[in-house]
Amino acid sequence: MPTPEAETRDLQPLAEIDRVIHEPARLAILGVLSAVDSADFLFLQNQTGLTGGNLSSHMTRLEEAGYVEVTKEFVDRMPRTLLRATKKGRVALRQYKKSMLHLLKALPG
Amino acid sequence: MSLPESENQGRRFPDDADVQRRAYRALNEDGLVDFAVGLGLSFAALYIGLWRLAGVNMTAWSGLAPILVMLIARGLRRRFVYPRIGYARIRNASPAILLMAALTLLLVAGVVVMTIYARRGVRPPAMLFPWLLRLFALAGAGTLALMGCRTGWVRFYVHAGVVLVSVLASLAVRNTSYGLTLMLGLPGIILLATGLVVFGFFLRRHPKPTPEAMHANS
Repeated sequence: MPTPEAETRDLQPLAEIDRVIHEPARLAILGVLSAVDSADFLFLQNQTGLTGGNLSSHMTRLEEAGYVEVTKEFVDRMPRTLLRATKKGRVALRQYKKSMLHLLKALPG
Repeated sequence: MSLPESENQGRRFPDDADVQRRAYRALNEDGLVDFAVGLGLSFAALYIGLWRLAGVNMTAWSGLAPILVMLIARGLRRRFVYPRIGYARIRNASPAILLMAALTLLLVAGVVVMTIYARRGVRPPAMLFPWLLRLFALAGAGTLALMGCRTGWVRFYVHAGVVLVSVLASLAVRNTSYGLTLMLGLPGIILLATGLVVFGFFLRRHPKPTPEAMHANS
């Protein structure tokens, strides 16, 4: 039977988890952006189910962390604000998934 | 402490394939791919029918058809789809899908080459044309099936089946021109009609956005 100290050691990496991505809304945003090349605000809103204000504030947080970049482009001759996951963001998401899966396996019980 | 069984069931991280499939599914919900492919096939059937059956040479106009189809589909997407569900650019096809597409084409090309060899000699170009069209149609069926796999929309598998059946039906028809017109026209009409119906449902499911929502997206 594992000792309490051993269980605590197993869960210590939980304290080091990436808290920018750990928030469910931001995880959903980055998840969608990692699956597409780029997307606009409305597409993200529909895919994540977040309200406009909520999405906006989480996008700002992700942009500050360097995980998402915002560009203005012309698509079919129409100006469009596009969001895409940066390389740093994709790597961070992969690392987060790896860490969480490892932690979930280490959970006692 | 573990999660209660009822909460633990089916809990897993959505992997990249799941998220990507949801994105593809959303971007093909409008039926415009069906509509565009159906329109293209219908144009092709009209071209073959007018040329082979009525002697009207539409070659000068044949290059316009794909451009017209593309312009119509893009225009509809820009006007009706992007303001409702937003815009996303899909990443490049996965290597597995590209490999499947290449293998499908190779398989079909191999069947054609074997058919030619079996008849002991090279057919004159005029007789190769129907086979090239059939090859094209089979490749199209393969692509439609791949779209079904990528998006999860069952209708693409049905379309692939319709194209396959029409290719087989064209072989059974004695008159090659009728057969080719049937091979292109039947799936063309079905896809065109399906596309329009699906597009109608899409417009009902996603009402016109409010000016505030459109402003937020600019």
